[in-house]
This record gives sequence, structure tokens and C-alpha cells, in this order.
Amino acid sequence: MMVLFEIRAKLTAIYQKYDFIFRFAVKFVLVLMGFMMIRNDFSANAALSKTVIVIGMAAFGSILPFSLTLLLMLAYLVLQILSASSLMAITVFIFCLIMYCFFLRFTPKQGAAVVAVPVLRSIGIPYAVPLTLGGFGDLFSIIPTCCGIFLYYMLAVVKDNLTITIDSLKGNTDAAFDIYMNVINQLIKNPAMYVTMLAYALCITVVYFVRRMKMDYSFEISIAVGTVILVIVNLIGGLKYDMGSTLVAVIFGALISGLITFVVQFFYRVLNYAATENVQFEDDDYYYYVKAVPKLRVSNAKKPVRKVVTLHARDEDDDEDELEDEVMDAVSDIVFREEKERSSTVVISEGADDGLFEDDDYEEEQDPLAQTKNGEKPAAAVTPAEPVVPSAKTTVTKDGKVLNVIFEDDEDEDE
Amino acid sequence: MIDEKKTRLMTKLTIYAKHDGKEDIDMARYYKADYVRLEVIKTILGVTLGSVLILAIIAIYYSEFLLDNALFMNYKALGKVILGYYLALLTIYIGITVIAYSIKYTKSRERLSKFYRSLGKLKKLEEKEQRLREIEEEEREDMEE
Repeated sequence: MMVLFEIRAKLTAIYQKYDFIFRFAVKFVLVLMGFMMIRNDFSANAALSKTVIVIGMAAFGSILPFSLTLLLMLAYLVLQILSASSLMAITVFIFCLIMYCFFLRFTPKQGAAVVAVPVLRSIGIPYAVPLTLGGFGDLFSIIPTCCGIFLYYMLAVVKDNLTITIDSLKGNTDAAFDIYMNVINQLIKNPAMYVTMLAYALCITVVYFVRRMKMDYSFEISIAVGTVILVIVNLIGGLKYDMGSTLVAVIFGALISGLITFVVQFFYRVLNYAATENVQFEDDDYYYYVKAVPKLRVSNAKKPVRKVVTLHARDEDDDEDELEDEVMDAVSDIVFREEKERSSTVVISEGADDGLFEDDDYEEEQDPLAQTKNGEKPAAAVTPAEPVVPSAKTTVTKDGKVLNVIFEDDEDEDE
Repeated sequence: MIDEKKTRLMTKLTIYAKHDGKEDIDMARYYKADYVRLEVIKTILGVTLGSVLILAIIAIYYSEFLLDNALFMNYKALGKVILGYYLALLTIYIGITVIAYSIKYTKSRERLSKFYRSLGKLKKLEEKEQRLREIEEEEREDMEE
């Protein structure tokens, strides 16, 4: 376990250095997978299907906010389908517009889920989305998730009917209506889609409520329960309808997805470093270039709390219990915790002398390039910081064991 | 010397202004009722557009039936049913919009109040700094004399 913590600490340090690149890379990979999926299924337009164009659009989409990235992907999808069948392109556009009007308008910041559902379904780990959203998001994430499921099934239907063009239906109105009704039937009267939506919605709801319960290992339990729910609902659905996947695939997919969610949870503190801020401002004397790094906090669920430790040593073993009782009475309201449980807590040991300081929310590194208005270095010029310097504040000996302890404050209780 | 307290405060204010601040300040241009009303109008437009599109899809789906029975249909009853569904949908969406955006506005105002309180603190710190400078200046002048 310690090895994993060490890896996590190293990843944290790396992430701190290259957080912008990392965030861009993750988004780029997701967006690129989305574009590649569209291209593989609907490569009707030769020019748009070129790898360079796809990579370029993915790179451009990665620098946009997710709502605009979605719009770009929709435009790409409609243009690709338009080259094969304008009827299908109009159908896709209308359904996407309906989804936006009724649902996505209310959750503009969760557009990633709409893309993630079809992308992850296509690579066989579809359940990672509801488990992760239930574990880290809120109940509103049900809306974009269900939209993603609809999009996935809609694209499957469109792919099957891509050969139908308006030209091929000219002069044969009856056939056109039949085909149109068939497409709509496939889209709307699709029980597998509704069962999947139900499974995802149920999973997100249960995971959300279980992980918020005040009990040990609530997160782990919630993920396990969510995984079981996904499997059960899919199995029950599979008994009555064709869900399009085998029993082994469902169980395997659910287990892999659960595992991925555990890994995400383990590295969540690293990922949470996305909140690192680089800001610039000025006052009368200085220009400030500040990098504010959010403090890492470990949730309380798994932390054993020690009440009291001895304050001074005595050689006589017989007196030890008595001494502990005394200390217990004297400082019973003080709670100590083992520092190793908060191995990711960052404490800047040198303080303000190095231009580094911290408060309850952020540590701040002042950029060494901070200049005065006259272009000179300010008197309190700072040195480049090594932000992660784990250090104990107090060392206490109890029963021959050295404990690095820190005080627990109200803020940590709340976390 | 760099004032840590002031730097911390300015950093937090800048971070807020960079993220939530933009939206909150935009929102603060409206009274709560006006803001919620604006969002309700957007919702009405969205739901109306969505409903028209759904209606068009349904109409095309049943177009064969509609063409065959065009002369015998009770348009008044059909209109009432469509209008009933539309109004029911609209009521639900307006209700959700009013609740959701009222909460959003209230939270935004809380954040903004905190921002203005912090600005006040910053102003006080700067005034204090200014006074200290003036005192130092006076002392220096006294020394020189």
C-alpha cells in the first residue's frame, strides 16, 4: 500500500508541474476518441475523414469549453451523415436539438458525460460513467448520462439506415413513410435503451446516496453496490429484451468499470489538483505572479483517531498507566492523528522566508519572476518552490513507537 | 516587504473573479425576480421549440393516418389534447426553472457578498499600509531635521 501512496505522491508532484498539459491531454484523448468513433461509423465524407482533419478538430475541441466541444462534434457528425443521407442527418439534428431544449440546457457543465457514454460503450467499459458520476458528481448528472445513452442508440440506428437517401425515395412516398416509421420505431421503441437508462439512473442515485452516508468505507461500499445494481438490472432486462451484450460481457464490463472507479478514487487527490491556480495581479508596489495550490485533504472515513499520547517519558513501567490517565484528563479535548494517515498533506517547512506560505485553502508560491514596477527584484524576492515537502509538526513517543502527529481542526472534520 | 495577508486575500479575490466571479457579477445586474423571469422566458422558448419539433416528428409519423382522415378528424379535441400536454410540460419545466434558478441566484449572491467583504478587508489593509507609510515618512523627515 505504501508503494501506491508513494506513486501517488510522485504523480501529484508531476501533475503540479504539468497540470495544464495533463488536463489538455485527458480532454484531447476523450474528444479524439469521440471523433474517431464518429469517423469509423460514418466515414461518408472523404475530406472530413482524413486523420489530419480528425486530429486537428480534436485538438481544437480540446481548447474549447465542453459545451462548444459538443457543438463541434455534433456539427462533424451531421456533416458526415449529410454526405451519405440527408434524411438521417436531419433526423439526428432534430433529435439533438430536442435533447438540448429539454435537458442539456440545464446541465451545460456536464457535457463530457454525453460524449463519454458512447465512447466508453464502444470500448467495452460503459459502466465507468454512472459509477464515476455517482461517486464524484451529483444527481443532475443523470440527465447528460441518459442523453449520452440516447445518442449511442440513435447513432446505432442511423448507422443501420445510412443507405436511405432522399433521392432513393423520390417517387415512392409510401416506401419513404414506411422507412421513416421504421427508423422512429427503432429509435423510440427500444426497450434495451430504456433498461440501460434505468440501470444508469438507479446506479447514480444509489452510489450518490450511499457514498454520502456517514459510515466507514462509504465510497467503496457505494461503488460495490452500484456495480451489483448495474449487473442485476442488466440481467433482468436481458431476460426479457435483447440488451445487445452477453452475460459475461455485462459482468466483466461492470467489474472493470468498478475497478476503474476505485483507481480514479485513489488518484482523485491528484486529479483534484486541477484546481491549481495561476493568477496575476498588482498593487502599488509589486506585480504578483502567484501559483496557488489547493491543499490535499484525505476524507475522514478511514482515519483512525487517537485520543491522547504521553507528553513526557518515564522509565518505570508501573507508572505508565497512571501517567496516561493523568494526561488523558489534562488534554482529553485535544485530538491527535497519525501524520502518516495524511501523507499527502503538504506542509511548507520554511515558511514565508522563502516566499512560500499557506492558509486553510491554498499554499501559495510567489513566482521568482515577481518584479517591481521599475523592473527590479523586490526585497522579498522568492526562490523557486518545491511545493510538496511533507513534514511533521510534532513527534511524540508512546510505547517505544514514534508518531508524527498533527492537530485535527474543525475544517478537517467537515471534509 | 510583501504582506502575506494581503497577498492571500488578493489571490483569493483574483481566483474568484477568474471563475465564479464573472457569472456572479453578470447575475448581480438583475434583481432576483428579474433573473428568474429571464430564465423562465428562456425555458418557455426552449420547451416550445422542443415541443414543436416533437409534434412535427409525431405528425410525420402518423401522416398516413392524418391524410386518410383529414376530413373526419375532430381538430378541436385534438388541439385541446396537444395544448393540454404542452401546458402540463411547460408548467413542470417552469416550476423546475423557478426553483433551480432561485437557488442558483441566492448562492451567487452569497458568494458575491463574501467577495465584497473581502474587498473591504483589502481596502482596510491598504489604508493601514498607507498610514504606516505616512508615519514612516514623517519620522524620516523628523530625523532629517
